[in-house]
Amino acid sequence: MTDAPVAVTTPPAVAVLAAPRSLSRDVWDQFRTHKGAMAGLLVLGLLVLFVAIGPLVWRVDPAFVNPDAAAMIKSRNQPPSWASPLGTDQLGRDMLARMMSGGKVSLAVGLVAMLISVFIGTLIGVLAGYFRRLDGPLMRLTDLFLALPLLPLLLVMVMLFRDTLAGLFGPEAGTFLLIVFAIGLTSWMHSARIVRGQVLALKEREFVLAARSIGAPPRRIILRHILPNVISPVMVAATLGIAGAIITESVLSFLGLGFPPDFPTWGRLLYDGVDYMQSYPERVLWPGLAISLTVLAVNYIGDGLRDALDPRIRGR
Amino acid sequence: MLTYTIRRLLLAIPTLLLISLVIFLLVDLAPGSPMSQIPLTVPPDVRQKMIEAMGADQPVLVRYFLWLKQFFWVEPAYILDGWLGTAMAGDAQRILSWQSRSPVFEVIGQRLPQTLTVIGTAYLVAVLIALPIGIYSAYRQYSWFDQLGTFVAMVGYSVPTFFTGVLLIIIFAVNLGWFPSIYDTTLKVTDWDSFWQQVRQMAMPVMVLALFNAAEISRYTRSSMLDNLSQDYARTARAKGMSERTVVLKHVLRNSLIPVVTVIALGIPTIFGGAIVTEQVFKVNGIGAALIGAIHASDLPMVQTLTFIFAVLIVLFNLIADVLYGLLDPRIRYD
Repeated sequence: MTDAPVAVTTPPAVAVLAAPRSLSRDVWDQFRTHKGAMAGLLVLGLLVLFVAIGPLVWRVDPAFVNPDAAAMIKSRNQPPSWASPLGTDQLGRDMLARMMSGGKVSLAVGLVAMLISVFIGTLIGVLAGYFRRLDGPLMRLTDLFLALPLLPLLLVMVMLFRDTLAGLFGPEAGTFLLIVFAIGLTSWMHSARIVRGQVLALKEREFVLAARSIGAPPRRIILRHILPNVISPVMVAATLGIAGAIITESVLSFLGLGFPPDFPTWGRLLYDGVDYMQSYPERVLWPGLAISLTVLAVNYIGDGLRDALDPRIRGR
Repeated sequence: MLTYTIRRLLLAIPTLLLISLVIFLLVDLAPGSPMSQIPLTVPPDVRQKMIEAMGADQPVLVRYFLWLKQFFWVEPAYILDGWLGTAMAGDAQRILSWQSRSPVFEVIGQRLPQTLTVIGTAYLVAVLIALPIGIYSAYRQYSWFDQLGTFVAMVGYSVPTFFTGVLLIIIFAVNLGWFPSIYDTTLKVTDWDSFWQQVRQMAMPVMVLALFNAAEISRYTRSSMLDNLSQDYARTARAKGMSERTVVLKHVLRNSLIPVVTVIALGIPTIFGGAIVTEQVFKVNGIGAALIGAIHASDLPMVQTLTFIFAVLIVLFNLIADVLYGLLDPRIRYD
């Protein structure tokens, strides 16, 4: 382990004959050797297919409650059958369809919240790392956010803004925007710190000096020269951020302060299932399993990505 | 070391003040506050009186400073009075819950022991499980034990506590009937019988919290041990002819524990946050449950105070972690 990398990493002198390997190819080759990450990618791919293609195949309305009272009562709490492979819930809604639509919202929340958090984090990290005058205040702000009790604050934010936003944008879009922004605004600190550290180191490198000496404005230096070089740690932070956002959203839903029941997520389905878990444990198991698998898969992918994007590990 | 500690302490004060302002303003200026929820059928003069009675007609800054004074001066005075039997607080106004009209700190005082018993045990169990696993995993890197340990740690870290909790309830309470699924907070431990009952009802919440935290701590222990095992001083110790036991458990472990100790200290506020969920799952009547109840009832003073207490915990344990790190690792102190 200690002497292997020297032998492998030095390219042969006649390497001109082989086509140059691109970075993404190198990263992908390294990523493929991480078994957990490949398994994670497979599981996540299947879950995405389930929520994206599933509703096209399984055309049952997840919010359909039989208007006929007698038929509705008959259709409640059905065990799994061909008509509804995962059974029905306490209002006779099809669980498979609800799992699909819930997964769509859960994954969308994870993705959008991650994008917001990475955007804020990168912005603050770059500003703090590049402009020395902003470094102090912005890093104090980051420390302040790190010291905030995030879960209680998220709960308070949801409680205070839910009705107003639901009135402005409708219950679905309102809750979605609120939760996505609340999670994004409370989870950017780690990526900001990582980006700042990278930018501080990159700023002193010769290529940045060269760009500056030919008169490139800070905006161009940041966008053309610095940002492409911080992309790998940001990607790792982003991947792990998706997992964090999905967990946070399901925690909020589980505490009854997330999405409304007619617009469920996996977390909300689990919360709804808890009341019936003695008689119908599968109603808790499926959404819980889906959340856990997603988070586990995303975490493994993040692990693999970290190894693959680290030049000290890659190619060993 | 003393100057380092004092510097850290002084830095904590503005942080706390800023956090308290953020929490106060967020709760106070939000559109969903109960002031806007008084029914329209209430006549204007009654409405005015209600707002006055709650003190909501004062400017924001005045209310903020009054709240600060209540939090940092009046309430500690009452606590000291309770312990020492003095009358320092006189009959100053305390922070009152809008739900129960009783002082918020009294409610917290009633709820805190439950939370602390469950969380404290869980964290202790987590550390006791995580350290040996982390040490052995690192010592036998890539062995089957390490592979298994890393996988279990990843699972424990990824599976949310509300799902593990519900899963444990289904398995151990519903199907096997070993443990009660609801935590009975009125249970008093008087003899072996009730002690056994207490152990049984604590088993599941403690397991859930311990699994989650052990996963994180064992990951840190493992990577820290790995860093140190390949260092020169470990080789030197082996070269001197010391037994493996001394090398690993004395030389390497002591140095590896430095970052782990800070991680353990930093994890304590998080575990309080995680306890909010666990208390909800197992119906433990602790401060997390109090927070959720207060949020559902729009009980602002309670919510503000509890959130701020969580913030104080975070700042306090950050401070403890910093000081511990300085104490254990002289390179950090730079004084």
